[in-house]
Amino acid sequence: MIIELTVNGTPRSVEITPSMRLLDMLRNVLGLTSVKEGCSEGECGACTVLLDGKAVTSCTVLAVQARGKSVVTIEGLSSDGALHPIQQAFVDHDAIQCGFCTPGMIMSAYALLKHTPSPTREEIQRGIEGNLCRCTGYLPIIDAIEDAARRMRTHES
Amino acid sequence: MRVDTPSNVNELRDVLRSTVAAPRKCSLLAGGTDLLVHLRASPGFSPDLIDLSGVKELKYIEMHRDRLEIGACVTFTEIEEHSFIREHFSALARAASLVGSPQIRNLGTIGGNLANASPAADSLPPLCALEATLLVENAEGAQSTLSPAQIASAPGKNSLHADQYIRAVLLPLRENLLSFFVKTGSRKAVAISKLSLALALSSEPGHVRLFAGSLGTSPIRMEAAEAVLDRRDWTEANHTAFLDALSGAVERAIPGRASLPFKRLAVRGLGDDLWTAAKEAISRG
Amino acid sequence: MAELKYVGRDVQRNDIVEKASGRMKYMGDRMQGGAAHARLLLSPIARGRVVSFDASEAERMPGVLRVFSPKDDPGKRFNSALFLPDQTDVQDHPVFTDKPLFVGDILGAVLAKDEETARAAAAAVKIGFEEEAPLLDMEQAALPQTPSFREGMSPVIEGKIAYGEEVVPEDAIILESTVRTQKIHHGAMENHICEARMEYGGVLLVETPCQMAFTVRYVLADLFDIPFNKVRVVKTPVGGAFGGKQEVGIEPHCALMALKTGLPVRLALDRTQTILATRTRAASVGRIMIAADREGNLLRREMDVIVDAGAYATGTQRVMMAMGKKTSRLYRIPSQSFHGRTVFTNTTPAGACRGYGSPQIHAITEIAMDLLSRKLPMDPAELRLKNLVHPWDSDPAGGPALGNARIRDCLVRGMETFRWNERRVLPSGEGRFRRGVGLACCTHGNGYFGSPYPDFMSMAMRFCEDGTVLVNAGLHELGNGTLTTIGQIVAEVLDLPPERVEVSESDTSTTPFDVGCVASRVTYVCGACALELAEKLKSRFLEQCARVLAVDAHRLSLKNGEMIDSEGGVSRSYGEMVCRIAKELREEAGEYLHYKPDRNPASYGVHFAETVTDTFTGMVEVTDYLAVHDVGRAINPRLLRGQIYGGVQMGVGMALSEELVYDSKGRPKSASLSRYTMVNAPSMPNVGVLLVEEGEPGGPFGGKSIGEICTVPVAPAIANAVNASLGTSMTELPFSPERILAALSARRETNAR
Repeated sequence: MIIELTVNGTPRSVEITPSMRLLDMLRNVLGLTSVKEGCSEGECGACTVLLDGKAVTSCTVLAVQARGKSVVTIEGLSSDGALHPIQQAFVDHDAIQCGFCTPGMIMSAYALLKHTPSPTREEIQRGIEGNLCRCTGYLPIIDAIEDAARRMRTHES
Repeated sequence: MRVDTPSNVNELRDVLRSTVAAPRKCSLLAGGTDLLVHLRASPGFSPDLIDLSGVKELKYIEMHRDRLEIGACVTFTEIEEHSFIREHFSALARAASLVGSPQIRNLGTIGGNLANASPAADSLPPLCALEATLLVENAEGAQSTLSPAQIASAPGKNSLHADQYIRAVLLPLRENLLSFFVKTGSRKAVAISKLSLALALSSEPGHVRLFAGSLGTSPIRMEAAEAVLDRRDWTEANHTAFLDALSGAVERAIPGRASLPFKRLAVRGLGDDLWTAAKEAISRG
Repeated sequence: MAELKYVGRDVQRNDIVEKASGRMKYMGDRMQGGAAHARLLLSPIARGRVVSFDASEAERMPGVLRVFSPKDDPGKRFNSALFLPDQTDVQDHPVFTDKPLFVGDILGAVLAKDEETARAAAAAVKIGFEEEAPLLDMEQAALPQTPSFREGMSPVIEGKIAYGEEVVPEDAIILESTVRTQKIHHGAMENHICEARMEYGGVLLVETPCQMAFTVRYVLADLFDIPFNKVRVVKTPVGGAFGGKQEVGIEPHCALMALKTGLPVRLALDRTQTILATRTRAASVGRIMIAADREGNLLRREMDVIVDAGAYATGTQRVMMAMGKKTSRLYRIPSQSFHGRTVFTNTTPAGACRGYGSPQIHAITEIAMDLLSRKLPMDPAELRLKNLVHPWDSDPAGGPALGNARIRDCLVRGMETFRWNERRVLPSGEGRFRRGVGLACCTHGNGYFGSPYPDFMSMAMRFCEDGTVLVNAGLHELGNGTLTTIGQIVAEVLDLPPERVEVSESDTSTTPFDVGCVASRVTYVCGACALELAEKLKSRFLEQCARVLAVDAHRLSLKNGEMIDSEGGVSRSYGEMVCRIAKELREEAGEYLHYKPDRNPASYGVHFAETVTDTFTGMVEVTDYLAVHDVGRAINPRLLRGQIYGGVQMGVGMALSEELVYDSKGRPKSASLSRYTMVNAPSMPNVGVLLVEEGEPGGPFGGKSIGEICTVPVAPAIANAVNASLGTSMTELPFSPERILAALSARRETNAR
């Protein structure tokens, strides 16, 4: 079956099967391999993407449920090859080690900052509570998100 | 596997009717955070799915004169962020805010949580405390109601017929109602409830409803503890009596269960939290 | 300490932009065209026998290529930890078994054209079993009278390390305790995956996110009787390892399928399979006796530790011995004995896991030390100070000299920064929430030198025609910063920006031998090798430049990408000189080095924790944390701190919430991340870091290890804080809410009596 949806800002017609998860569609059909499968049950957050602006674990969404909606992955964050301020902040704060949790983590951070442009550290912890990381201990990630929020506010003003 | 994607209740009922006429294994899919995980873990079991996420009549939050209606496909994030629910049904808003993670809350629906019928379903104890009613419809459009305690017939099994769906949750408006929800799990955030308590009481004595979740198939009413609380007498002695009543109720609810030694004690922590919150809210007036 | 340009700086990770952009491709992200997909068939029973295997329905499914069963087992057994032929650990592991020994044991596999088909077909294979009662309790498994499932193999592997007189003075204060540590899942975000195919020349090519490519090669060559030089193992990007990808895992299964079918085979595990069918941290039970005099001087220590290998031998016996070896390197104890017993249960096999036994043995010894301090009574920090080793101490058990052991500095500085003396005597509170502080000291190693396993490597390094540098070594980047660290060291010596140094990873056909990213050897051994080779290359390059310019080499130096002739007043870029060397000398500007360390000093650390425990719900919050480490020299301080934060995250889980549990039939109850509770952001404490950098001879620029040791003292530091806050003597990890409430109950009952 074919569904119509917007992926990273571009309208797409995508061939899917009924049982396909959004995760499988993004990775295998559209080649957006930044979306990782870590646990297959919505616990680790490595598959986090934005669905109509909200962070969701794409392994718990059927591809067909995304019809007519907009999906954003980390590939859709940077424009003209430049890193998004959140990505740059992750680089500057060494908030990445093995990198496997990173795309999902950054998408959760992106969703958080859209909703809460000036989060406290506690709000940041809550915003990424659905993203597991085994390498960094989260602390540099929280620093990075805090810094990114500052940069994005400065940029806007 | 076939997936039907009705966009309104008429189309939904058409599909349901067809599954009665030509029976096939079919599951209702809402947010997917429970069902899709179950399906993934059981590759041999692959029912057809009816995706409710596009049925517009199931996605609404509406105030009526005597009640608030929440459509079955309203997500936990939507419930958590709804100002009326936060103010007037705060136990439900609080429980919604503690379900899973932001990603799960953005997808998970109240109807799905109820229909999944897990003993640890976080929406159940608050709905019991808040005297909610579940509005159920079938393929013919015939409506019936269930109390939240009736949705689960056994752990993980709901009591709906094959052609039924939850349409909405109805919450009666009650003046001066305060409500609270607390839970404990294996970690502070993003944890399946090992134990939860939901409390609703009016600012004046005479109305107290206290339910414990994760003790059985359905939430269990803690009547003895309610009685102590309703004295509205915030002394140390009553505080102890309240916690003792909770422990006693847990012991009566799950005798011989391996988790009893833990739950009979942990409930005192949840009870202490409720006591403090209720006392503070009532003193504030 | 000399001011350096790149070493000691927060140089950016070599691959961080790639990772931040989402472009980084792990093995699972490769285009899947052409490869057949495999799905393993795992045993649902913990012990028994396959009596029927019916693949007919699966084989009929469109897209199914072949179903592998126990009949396809090659007949030879392997051990997932071996890396050289002389190593004699018992080889007991079949590839496909008809006698499953744990839930998750691998019985066969389905090969299909895509993953979905493989998954569906695997569910359609009907396997019948004769079940036997599983042996699940490790203490029971240690008893000689317990019947073993080991079939002609020893059910208990013993190890003993002892020194000094076995005498305890009559008036000594004795502390006896039994500490239990749990089975742990590594929890790397990337699940296990492997690809195998036959290549040109009859070479078996296996690509795997591993930590020891040469070990994989060895096991495959031995198992399938293929010449070593016809097995090529290539390490792919790793999404976290922590020791879980150190031992051979699913490579034999993947390789077997490629060998038998001639097809390229991709084998990817999901999370449940990774938890069930790979490796774990070994659970342990340690009985310990510590004897001290009234002043707190340790007189003798005896440890009897049972280590649960699970169903197969793997590397667990090595883990057990490694535990024992640590015990003589932290405190000055005149006499000590360690008796270790590796036993077998019908549970998930254990093996390498970050710390390799250190976390377990330090949980045993450091929790006991605190209980001793209570008995004396004495400040736990004072007790440590009385007994900790001094710099340049030797190891009384005969291990390598300790080197510049700065544990005392760590403790003293840490006590001050943490305000230990002040906080230790604060009341823990009388109400529902109780506050307490605790600490734990630890040691770990720097490679294999001094162990039964040889530590050596070779490396090649050369300048390219544009002046960039290529380092050819069998290294393994796990996200821990291997490549960045090596690059910094090389950049420092050759004086060019680290971005112009490219460091390769392990490919057994094209890179020189390296043992692996294991045993905390990367900074100390690989880094020292890189340093020495870079010096050697610099020497050669200058000598070659001298010949080209027909001047004396002493006039020449390297500075910032330029070769400088101080007397001639001339400077040329490296690249220009490389081209001239090529054209005029017909030589490559490159060098090679064989390296073997001649020592293995100890790294050290002390962690301090403050906890607040809810005595009503049993929940513990770690409210403050300080990690102090003797690192010799931080090559990259920011990377190093990152390792510490990650190590603390793992340790908090070990202390409070992580545990692989089984039901009475040996079925895992925590085979998913919703049931296996790792630390998420809200439960992670803030972590302060103090580094003691006094230089370690033999290490590059004085540096030594951090990657494993940073997780070693965490669980006991937290356990000690909780025990201090509650006045309890809990010794079973994790300190789950259930265990805490049970301990408080038990104490109330004791007090009541």
